[in-house]
Amino acid sequence: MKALLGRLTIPHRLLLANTLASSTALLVAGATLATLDERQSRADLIARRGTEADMIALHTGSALLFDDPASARTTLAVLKVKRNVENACIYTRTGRLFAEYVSSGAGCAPTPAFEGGPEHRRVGNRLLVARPIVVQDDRLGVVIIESNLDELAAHGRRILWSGLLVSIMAFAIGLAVSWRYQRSVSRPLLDLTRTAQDVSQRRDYDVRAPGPAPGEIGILVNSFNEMLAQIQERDHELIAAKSDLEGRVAERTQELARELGVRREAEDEVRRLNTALNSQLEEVTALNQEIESFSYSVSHDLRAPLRHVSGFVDLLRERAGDSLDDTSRRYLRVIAGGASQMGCLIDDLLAFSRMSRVELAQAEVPLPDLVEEVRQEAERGNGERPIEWLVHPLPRVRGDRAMLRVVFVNLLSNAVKYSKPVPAPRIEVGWTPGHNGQLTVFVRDNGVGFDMKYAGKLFGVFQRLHRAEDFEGTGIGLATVRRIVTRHGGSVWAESEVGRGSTFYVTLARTEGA
Amino acid sequence: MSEGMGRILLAEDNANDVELTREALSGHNLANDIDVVRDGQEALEYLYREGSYAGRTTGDPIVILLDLKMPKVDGLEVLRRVKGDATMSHIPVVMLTSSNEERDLVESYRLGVNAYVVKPVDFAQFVDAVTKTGNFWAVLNNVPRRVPMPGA
Repeated sequence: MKALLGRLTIPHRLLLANTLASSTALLVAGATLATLDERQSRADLIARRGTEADMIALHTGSALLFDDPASARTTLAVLKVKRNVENACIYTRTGRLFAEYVSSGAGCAPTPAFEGGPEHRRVGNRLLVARPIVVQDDRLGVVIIESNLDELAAHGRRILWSGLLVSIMAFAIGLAVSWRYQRSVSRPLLDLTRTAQDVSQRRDYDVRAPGPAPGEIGILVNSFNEMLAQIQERDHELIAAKSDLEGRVAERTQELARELGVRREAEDEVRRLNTALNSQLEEVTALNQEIESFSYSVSHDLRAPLRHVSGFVDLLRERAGDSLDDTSRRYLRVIAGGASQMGCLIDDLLAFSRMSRVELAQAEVPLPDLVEEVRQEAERGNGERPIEWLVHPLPRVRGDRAMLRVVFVNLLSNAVKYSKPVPAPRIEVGWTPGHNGQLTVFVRDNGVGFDMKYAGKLFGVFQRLHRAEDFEGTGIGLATVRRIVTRHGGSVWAESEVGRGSTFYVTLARTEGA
Repeated sequence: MSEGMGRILLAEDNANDVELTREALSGHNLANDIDVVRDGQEALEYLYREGSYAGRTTGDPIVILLDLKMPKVDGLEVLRRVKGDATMSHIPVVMLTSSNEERDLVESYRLGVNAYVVKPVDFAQFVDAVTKTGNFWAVLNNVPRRVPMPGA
């Protein structure tokens, strides 16, 4: 039963509930009415039979008094019209059957069923009503009318049928009314259900349960719609967030792919560069080895013939010098000078080449000692005029001492060399602090100077700004200086004015705490 | 210079250099005491009295002047052999070379050379360098005489 109920739809349940309620009410009312009516009918019947018995008692008193059963029978015969009366019996005071009327049935019993007083009794489906027959307060006998209850049964049946009819009509009307009414309740619910199904199955949050609906269902529908609106809003937000997120993910993915591509390209580039660098390094190494063996050969094999030229010219001059004329002797001097010059060139070139190849031995170099040592050496190459030296207190620097020595040998010997023609040669060595742990050392002379137009040529190999007759030299010294300073991470430059001296600047790395 | 002062061994492959060296030393009366070999192989044969020098009767040289670059066996190898041999290591060895390459210098001193002279291009300087060296080792230096000289 419960399962059955569970399967019923809301309209059917409502209908069933309504029907059950109204039917029960109808049944109770009908049953009550029927019971009341049956009682009333019975009371009426008893009253009617009582009246008939009273009438008969009234009219049969004389017959009893006069012992005239025939008259009594005549009186009883009026009961013929009463179809339901089956028999009527009159008993004397002594209980003897005095007269009887029999319509149907078994007839009167020989003795009365009642003692005397007005009373009635129901026996089976028979009703017995008794009335005393009294004449002048003298109780002469008793009349008993026995009738069936067909009348009552017929009435009951009538009542039942009409009740049934009324019930059916009422039920039908109730059903119709209930059907109509339940729709006002169940339709919003059904709509709500359908909407909920739509929402859950199609994820369509645009739908709304149709309204308006009365009472709590209206509130329910409104709440549901509001909830839907909220869900829809959140759904939209969610979709927006999702698409935004997807967009960002796609964007980021693209970016990453781009970055990856760029990185891969960069890596390829680096690899390519590395390979190129490695092969270049190999080339450079090979080249360096070649240069080294070349300079080794140069230093050994190129100098030997020069030494021979120089040596045999000298031997020739010793042996035959006196017999030669001045021109021949000059020729010999030129040959010897050329060989000597060539020797210097080779030495300088080798030194220059060595400066590029040799590893830097970085150490702390105290410039005062170095400069003083070099100064004394350079002074030896000086002419007759004494040089006024002005050497400021110098700091310690970082670098390869042997190489830095070459730098200062070149700078100071140049200063000495180009100051020779000046009446009062003056050479100044000092320094100024610089940025990034660097400092600038300068060597200033008041010598012949040079035209700044040619400053760019100053540091090139074999570049000379003066004629060899005026100033001896190979044109490699400043190139060597620049190479060494560059290898130390510094730079070198010069300022000069013809006839007013030159200043050479060299930037070097100062030591920690210097 | 007497015979007793011993001889100078000059190992030099270049004839011009031999002549110049002789000339440079002759100014100091050292030229007559010079034995010249033309490569490292010959120098070793001279020192160990082998080959064409098997019958050499002179004692060990008082100084060996070694050219660095020579055919067959170079100066560094001769130096190594001499300084590695207990019977020879007392003989002063002077490298006479065109090169002032540092690696040669370093290697020579590592092997125990007694002096390293770079031959200058200028002949006057060359003479100066050679005679000073020759004088020092041949005349002034008091070499321990572990090996008795037959002529002494």
